[in-house]
Amino acid sequence: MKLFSLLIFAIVLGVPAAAQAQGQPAPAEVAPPAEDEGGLSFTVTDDSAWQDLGIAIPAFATNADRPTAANSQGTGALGVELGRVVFNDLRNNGLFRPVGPDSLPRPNYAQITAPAWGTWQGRSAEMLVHGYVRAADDGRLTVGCYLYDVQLQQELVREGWVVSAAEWRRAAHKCADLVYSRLSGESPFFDSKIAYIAETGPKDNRVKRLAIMDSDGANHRFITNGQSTALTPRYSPDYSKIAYVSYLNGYARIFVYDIGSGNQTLVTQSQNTTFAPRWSPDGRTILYSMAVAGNTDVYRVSASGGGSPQRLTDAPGIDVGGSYSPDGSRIVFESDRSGSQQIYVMDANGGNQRRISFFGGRAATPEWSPRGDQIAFTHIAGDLRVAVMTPSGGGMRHLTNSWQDEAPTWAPNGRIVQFFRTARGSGEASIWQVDLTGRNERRLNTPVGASDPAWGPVLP
Amino acid sequence: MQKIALVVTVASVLALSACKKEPPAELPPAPQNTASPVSPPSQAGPAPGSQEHFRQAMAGRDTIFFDTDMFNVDAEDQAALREQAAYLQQYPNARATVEGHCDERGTREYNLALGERRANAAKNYLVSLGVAADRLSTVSYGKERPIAVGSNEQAWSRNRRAVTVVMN
Amino acid sequence: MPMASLAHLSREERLGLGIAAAAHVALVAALVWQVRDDPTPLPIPERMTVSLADEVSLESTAPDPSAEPQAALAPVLSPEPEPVVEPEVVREVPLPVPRPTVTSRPTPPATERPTPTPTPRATPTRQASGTRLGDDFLQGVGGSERSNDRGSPAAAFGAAEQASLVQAISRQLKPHWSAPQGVDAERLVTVLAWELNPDGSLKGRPRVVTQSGINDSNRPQASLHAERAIRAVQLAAPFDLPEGYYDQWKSIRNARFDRNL
Repeated sequence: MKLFSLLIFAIVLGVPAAAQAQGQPAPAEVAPPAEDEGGLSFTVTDDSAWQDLGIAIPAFATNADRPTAANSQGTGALGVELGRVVFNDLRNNGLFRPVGPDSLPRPNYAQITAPAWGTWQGRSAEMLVHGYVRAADDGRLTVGCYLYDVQLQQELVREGWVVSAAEWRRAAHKCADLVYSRLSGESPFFDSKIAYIAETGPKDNRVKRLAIMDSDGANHRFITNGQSTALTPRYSPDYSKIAYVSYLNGYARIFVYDIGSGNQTLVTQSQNTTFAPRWSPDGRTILYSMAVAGNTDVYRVSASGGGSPQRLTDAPGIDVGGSYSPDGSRIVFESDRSGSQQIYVMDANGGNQRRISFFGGRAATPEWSPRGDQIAFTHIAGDLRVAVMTPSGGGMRHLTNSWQDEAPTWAPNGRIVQFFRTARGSGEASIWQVDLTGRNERRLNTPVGASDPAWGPVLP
Repeated sequence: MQKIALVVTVASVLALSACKKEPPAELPPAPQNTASPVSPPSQAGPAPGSQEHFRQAMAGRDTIFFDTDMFNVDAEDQAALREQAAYLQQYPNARATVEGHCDERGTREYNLALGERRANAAKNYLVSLGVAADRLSTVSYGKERPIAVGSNEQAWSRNRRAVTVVMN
Repeated sequence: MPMASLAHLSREERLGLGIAAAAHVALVAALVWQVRDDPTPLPIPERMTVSLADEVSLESTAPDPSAEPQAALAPVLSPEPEPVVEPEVVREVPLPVPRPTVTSRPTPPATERPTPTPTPRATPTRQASGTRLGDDFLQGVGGSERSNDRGSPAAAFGAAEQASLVQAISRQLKPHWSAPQGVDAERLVTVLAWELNPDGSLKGRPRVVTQSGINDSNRPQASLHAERAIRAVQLAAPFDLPEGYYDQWKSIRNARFDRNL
């Protein structure tokens, strides 16, 4: 009894002492200056809500208004279109507050390299984009892009590209990429393409077609005609092929579609259900999942065909996936061998398989970020939500909060996640994007319903 | 006097206690249970051994249902599968495909695998009843082919199914 | 044990006890239910910058009273009040010029003479007020009779002055400082140093002393963070700071730029 009361006494004394010790502020990272230095020390804290960066994007100028295949009204009108593409890229991005060419005065060709600061300083834009386009005799276009700091009156960065007339939009995406990466520090991603499944029809009789488009929705093209259901496409890293699942033969099989030639080849001749195609970062290997007698495993096969598939998992249960790390050394996949869908990592040859998801609920569809620092996946706990975690399974964060968001894939810069959202009841699917910080969730404009989005790398 | 106090106390207790009962969770409707014997083919009806004939004969028992994430064949499923096996024994030239389906409340690729598991479970049971394995094939449609279009447990329970289809 | 003690209660008593217990439980449940509701959130007060001088200076920094202040002189009354000039405010009736011989009442002292205009004026104009105070009526306030020493604003540069100087610089920097966005970007801290000219303009370019808080996720934003901090200083210049203390603010050694919501 005495011991007990002594213990209580000690605890009562110890707790405030511990609290006192914890209450000491952490030592400042900056040492205060020595007495004889005499300079001032202080802290300036930015505690305002995130402010988007104001940026003015007037129309691109041209040295001479010449006819061009890129625009029926000549290079002058093309300059306006180029400005508009840059404006839309940066507007949808959430970091900027751009003003586009339709609301701004148009600079002349000489002002592109020597801006008329007076015109731009009264506005709310802190940054200014100037560009020019020149048509050469052979039809090719030279596009230059300049970024200026209006308040400091300095040039920040400049670059130029030569493109064919048909690819004029790519030059504008390159300009948007230049501005974006200079002002955010992130890698570019606008000059890339997205493959996805276009959906039409009622919920119990959906027509699903393979389609591709630019990252901003332009240059849209249907690849299949919808007679057989197409699912889960993936661009090859060099953009030459798309691997996808089709029910062409009455059951799920993986086809590799060569975009240039239009040819389709089968990944495997097996009669079993095969699905979930994935490319390795070097484009030489394709991973896929095959269901045999109720058991599904992950296999890999040479992308050039002719090799025999190698089985990577053999646990009883459903193993689906996976996604390579950017250096190609590891694969993240999902498996229900523990009783429910969870996420596992293994070496690229199938060894060393270990579970990394331990946060409750189920975890599925893992995708490794091109930057290697995060894995995006679908977290199932009641609703289906898009979430990210580190490759060791820590730091789990939800990025969305809706009834059914699934199948996240990454933009090429590893900072934007793309997924599709299914509406409750109607089952209508739409593609959405969200930043890795969880901000700026926005819908991608597609001609009809859309699902299974996959992003290709930045075009060189 | 005591009785009045008692009544007042009881009344106030009832007024204070505002308990709300939880409504019972909806149970999925039981699948079709009409036991219909295999009717002798009539002249004007579908050809015997065809899918149309099979469907009419089965009258709903060509489909078995599953619980969420499950793929086991329970007693009701077994009864339906016995009838399917009986039909297939009757028409030994008929070949059949077992389709596996899932509800929409899961990720697409896992559902393709789960559908295959369900189809495989049904096929295995049919094989154990004596149907030759090479007469049966399986296909999985995952969540791609729902028959009930709602987003509620009632619809989902109808979509978690394995359907046997006779190939003409 | 409890059951045995209830045995000798009458039936009514047992019933009453049971009902009372049930009523208590119901009351507690009702209270718990109420508490579960979110209380109305209090309105968030506006932000206020507070700078604390947490050091006690060893030297007095209070203004020194002058050793020999000039004796306060009573204002000299002029024998005749100055003529009234029409003030800017339009008045219907001009007030009569006070004549010392009009009334039998003793002439009221000059300071009590009311200003003739009914509307209050921010600064009394002596010409129109009709007072008898001369232009020199402030002469002699403060200062010594023998010297014009009016005393110094502060005896030394202490902690309080440093705090207010720091606050002035921060206040001028803050509108131009916005940290870059990104994953873990709020952890970045940049420390700059720069020199200032006597007129408050920048001497040269701010230089980065050190950066901290960099991890793999926010590394791409680290140089951007430093660039934005330098930009904030360049945009805030020229600084508006008291010239008397130029020696104290001519060199900024450790200006720490961070982000905190």
